[in-house]
Amino acid sequence: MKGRLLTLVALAVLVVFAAGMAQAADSISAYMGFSREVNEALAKRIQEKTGIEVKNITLSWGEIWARLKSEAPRFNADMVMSFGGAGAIEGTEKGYYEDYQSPAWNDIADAFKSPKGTYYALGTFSFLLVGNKTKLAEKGYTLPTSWKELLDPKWKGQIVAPSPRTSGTAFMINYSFLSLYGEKDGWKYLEDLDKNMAFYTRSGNAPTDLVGRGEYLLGITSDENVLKRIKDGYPLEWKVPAEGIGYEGNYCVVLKGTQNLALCKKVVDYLGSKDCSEFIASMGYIPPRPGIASGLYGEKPPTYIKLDHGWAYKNQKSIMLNWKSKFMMKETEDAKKSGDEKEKSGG
Amino acid sequence: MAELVMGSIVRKNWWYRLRAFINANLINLFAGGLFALLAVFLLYPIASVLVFSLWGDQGFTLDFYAEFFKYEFYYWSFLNTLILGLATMIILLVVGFCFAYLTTRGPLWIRKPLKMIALLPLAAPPYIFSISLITLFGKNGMINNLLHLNFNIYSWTGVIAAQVLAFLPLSYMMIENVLNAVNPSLEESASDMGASEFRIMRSITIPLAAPGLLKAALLVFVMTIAEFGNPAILGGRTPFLAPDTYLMITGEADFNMASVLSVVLIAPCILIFILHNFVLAGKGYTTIVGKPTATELRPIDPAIKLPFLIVCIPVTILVLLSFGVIVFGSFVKIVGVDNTFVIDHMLNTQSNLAIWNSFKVSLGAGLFGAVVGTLLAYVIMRGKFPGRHLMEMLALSGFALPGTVIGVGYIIAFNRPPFLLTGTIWIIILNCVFRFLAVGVEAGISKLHQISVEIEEASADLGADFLTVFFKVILPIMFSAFVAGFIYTFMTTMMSLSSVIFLVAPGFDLASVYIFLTAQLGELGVASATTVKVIAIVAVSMALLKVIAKKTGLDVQKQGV
Repeated sequence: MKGRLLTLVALAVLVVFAAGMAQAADSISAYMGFSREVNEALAKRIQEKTGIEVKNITLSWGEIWARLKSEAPRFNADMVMSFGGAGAIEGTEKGYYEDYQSPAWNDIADAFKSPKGTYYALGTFSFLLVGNKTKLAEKGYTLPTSWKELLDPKWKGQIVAPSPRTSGTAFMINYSFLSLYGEKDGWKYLEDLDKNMAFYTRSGNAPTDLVGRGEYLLGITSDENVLKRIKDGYPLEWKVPAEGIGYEGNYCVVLKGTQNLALCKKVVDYLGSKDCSEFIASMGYIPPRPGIASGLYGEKPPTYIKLDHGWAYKNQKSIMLNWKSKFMMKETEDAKKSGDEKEKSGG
Repeated sequence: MAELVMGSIVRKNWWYRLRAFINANLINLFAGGLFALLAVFLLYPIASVLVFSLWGDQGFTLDFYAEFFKYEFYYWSFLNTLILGLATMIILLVVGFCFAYLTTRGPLWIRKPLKMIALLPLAAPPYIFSISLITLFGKNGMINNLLHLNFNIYSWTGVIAAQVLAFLPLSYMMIENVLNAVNPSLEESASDMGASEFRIMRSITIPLAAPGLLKAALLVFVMTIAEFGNPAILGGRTPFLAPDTYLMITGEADFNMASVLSVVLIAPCILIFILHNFVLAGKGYTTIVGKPTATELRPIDPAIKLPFLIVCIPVTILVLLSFGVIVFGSFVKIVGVDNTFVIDHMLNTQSNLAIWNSFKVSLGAGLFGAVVGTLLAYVIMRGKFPGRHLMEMLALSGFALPGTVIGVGYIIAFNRPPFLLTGTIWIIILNCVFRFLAVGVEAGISKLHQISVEIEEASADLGADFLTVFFKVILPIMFSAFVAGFIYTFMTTMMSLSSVIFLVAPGFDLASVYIFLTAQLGELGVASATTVKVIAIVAVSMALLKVIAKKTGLDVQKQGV
């Protein structure tokens, strides 16, 4: 009797596995770091236009990088679509990526590609100040027009922003302020801002939803989902504060050792096409091809803070450590002492 | 004719010899095989992680441990984790006991509904409670708005509440199993001699159940400190070790520090394990020797029923509300903002594919896990070879270790020959099997604890050889543990997240990963809809199993599943 039960279960397992064996012909797999909806829509678009199926999985930039690091040299995907410049550059140094000079990218500005064709930027995104219309009106407040206004004590416990530990957006937010105010005043600003901060979220997009659902009044957030959420009916309003906003590329690479190099090249070609730029723009990003209006910002690009990305990538570790020690962990006395001594001997 | 007889004698001879060999060595053969499996699929990945905590770019180093002691942040993280584990453990011991007592000794009409409530959270991923608690008690939550409260869910209260709800089934199942095993005739005779129910509970039920209760408590403790979803979502700015380990890897790609944090997280688990073995040593309560006697139902004393109900009712309401909110959320546009009815969330294709994948993985893991778990329990309890404790420790370590660490261990260990497994479905299945072994093993051990070895010895004395004893006595006894192991592994795999999140490959999303992803992005609609479907699958599987069990004459209910 029990034997029959076992056989039944075993049979079910077999049937289920046999059913899962069918494989599609022209397909590549990709780690994708846009927001989920954009990833799925872009994969669909690529299949429509090139006939290549993109098996995708949505991951945050940190997760993509952690995967590349742990999987090297045998990657479980053929491409990465959208991750940060730091990963693109460090991976290039480590020899993670294939070089491919795509003809489709020839007439695109150098800022969007590497000289050897190792990585390409599918677009750039930024961060914004968002507020909950309904809740702000209830309190009689208006959405601040400058970053400085966020230091007003009336916002205490009402602001959310992502944590740079996990979010590429948050790291960009941090070094944007360091670039805007200079290192010393930049950290001072972040410390003052911290006093009003409710907490730091893991995902760069999370503040959009927290503010949209009315959990908090204000958020500093990635611009990726803002357009979509407003269309969905969230009572959100957004602003590019007077001082401007930072920006970062959404880089794409082909991973070394892929079995589908020819297909990957075709996909890279498509990513440089006008059609792809239009799609990226319609989602609210700034596309690599000029003259295509972003769905979020329109024809005219927003005010940008002048950024030195190379400096930021190079100093990522120390910026992160500084952030952690200021906002997450207090050093013990010993560590402080040894740190001071290091500073002395160094200076 | 003669040849035929000769042949059959030779065959018989050969068969006898094999049988004799198996008879003498079966348990050792099993032990050897299981050791090999445990070594490859648990020890090896864990060892890889340990190596990473001591191995930097320049070779062996203690720098990473030095960094742990450098920052107060890490102490707090450690301390908070212990406090969270202890608080959840104590609350769940009380709540689980109340539920289990009422469902095993309470009035009949209350047993089934209460049991269903207690098991319901099993059908949802643990972190779904953070989401429903936010929807209910968040700053813009339904209950907060309704009652004009200013309750802050991003706090200790929130984390503990979510953890208690998430791990209620675990503590309930363990405690119910234990209470069922206490021979009712002991309580009955005490009652006949005039002892009050309170006194019976204090002097018979609880002492007899104590080892089982302790086991339940320890398992809950170990599980809660390893869970990262709830503290990560509701913790606000309070650090906890498990989510920090997870963030250390996913966010900072710092495998070394993550390994250090995991080692620190393992320390209390090992300590508890030693304590547990020490306390339990020599305390085997065998109350069922031979056939248990049927008893008549005794009415429960109101002085006990009332406080127990007072504990159970708010928990019941919270569980029901949590699930209600999730079902509600899967059919409305935006929970709490735009409550118009939509079906879109339910029809999302990528999530449906993910659910199908999860189903396949869970079935494989359930079956394999149950076989391995049952065998392990038997070998650990009845084997006479050295290293049994090591084996038990190994088998349970899957639970004790944060899933994130095992996940990363698997990536490091199985992305290179000789075990090239990454990117396949097998790595996910194996990962789940060895992570969730503990319940199958514990269930088997509890079972064998209660069944005196004399039953086996008696059969042997009557002339049965080992194989006969194994198939006729041991397997039937263990079968309920097997079913428990299967159901638990199936369900937890369906829900498991923390380690598979590292192992899912493009085009092979799993339901739990998809739920977490969408929930994290704030798409509560798709997250809720996917959860509802997962819950449905788990519920249907359970019902199906019950039907099969009934048809084959096996009473799953009675076997303590």
